[in-house]
Amino acid sequence: MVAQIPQLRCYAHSLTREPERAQDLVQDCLQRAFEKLHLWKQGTNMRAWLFTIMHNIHANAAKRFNTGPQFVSMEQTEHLNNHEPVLDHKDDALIMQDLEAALRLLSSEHREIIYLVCIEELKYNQVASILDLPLGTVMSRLYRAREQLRQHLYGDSKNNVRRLL
Amino acid sequence: MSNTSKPVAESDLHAYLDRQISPQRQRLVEEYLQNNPREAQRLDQLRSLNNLLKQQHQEHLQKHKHEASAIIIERPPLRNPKSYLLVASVMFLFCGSLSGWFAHEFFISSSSQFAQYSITKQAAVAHAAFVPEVRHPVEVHANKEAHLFKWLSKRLHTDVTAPNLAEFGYALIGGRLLPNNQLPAAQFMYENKNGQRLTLYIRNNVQENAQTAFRFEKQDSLSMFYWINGALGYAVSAELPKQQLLNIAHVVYQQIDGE
Repeated sequence: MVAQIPQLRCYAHSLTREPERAQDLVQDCLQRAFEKLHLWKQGTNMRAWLFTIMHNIHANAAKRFNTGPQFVSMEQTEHLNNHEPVLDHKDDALIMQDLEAALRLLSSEHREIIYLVCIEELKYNQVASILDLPLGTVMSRLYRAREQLRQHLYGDSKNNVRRLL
Repeated sequence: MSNTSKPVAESDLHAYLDRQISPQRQRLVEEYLQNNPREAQRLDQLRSLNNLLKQQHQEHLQKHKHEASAIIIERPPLRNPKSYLLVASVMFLFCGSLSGWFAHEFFISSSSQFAQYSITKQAAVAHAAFVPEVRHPVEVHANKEAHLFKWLSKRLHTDVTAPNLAEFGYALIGGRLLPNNQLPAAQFMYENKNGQRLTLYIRNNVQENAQTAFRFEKQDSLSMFYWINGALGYAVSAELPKQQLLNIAHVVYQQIDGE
């Protein structure tokens, strides 16, 4: 369990994007896991189990404090729409800055799917089970999240957008 | 529709990108991309997006390491940050090896024999989980000492106080209540002026009349003395040489159990 802490920190960061809240989330998750250790089935994936706990804590807190999907100001969306793609800059720092900005514009629901699929490289059905969502919902969130990030980073003409199936 | 006759959908493109696609569908996707350069370009962008995300993740991991040590250095009570960093890094190494040890032992059984020696595992895990904690090392701070003792005594159904370890340079930071298999446990945490931490883990026993001598256990850099006396089991853990910790354990024993 302790060995999973670095990954838990990253997952918490993907959910909250705020160091302080991420640290609290990790702490809460460890404490909860500690209490529920007897429920963990030996031989199963400990990391996925911890992610499930963390997801639930975050989702409940978001419900309670209404800090879930945040509304984006008009200014921010203006920025998003008129955004000049950064790929031409070929500057790593700028691209990273832009990626961070794009990630912050995503809802935490979308960010966590991006994290679980792209960073943790989990199977879609594992992601669905961690988030307790139907596979179809996971997939449609994945498309939207990726498409939003892509358009932010690379720009896009409308006719280039494929209808999401 | 059969597996190969369905047209290529968005889900196929993502599954292709994430290498979660069946070989038959993969061939279809490749064919599709050859005939749709725009889609191929979009997929390339999604692929570079993936690489960027991974790169950012790696950078974040690196940065986080530095951040964690920065927080530790900024902590006011620390007069010798270097030694604390050493403790933190040793702790980090210890964590990895601990998890295997822990996973092996923790879940086996809750027989009375297990209950007797598993105190070391539980105490070690509790030590590893909370000692590196910068912001919330304890649930109740030592400045509410009376409340802390009363609360833990109530939960453990017996009088619990934290021994005074000032003669070794350790001051009480506070304590927390921890879950144990059937009965609650408590952890007191101490810190010396170098920021080195020591924990005392106290747990109710399953067998009320058990009694053991001092026992020593060492896991990497963590040393631990533990003993069971009647209704309670104790474990003192710190990254200290054996003899030094033994002296502390003796004083803990005298203050708590010695009549």
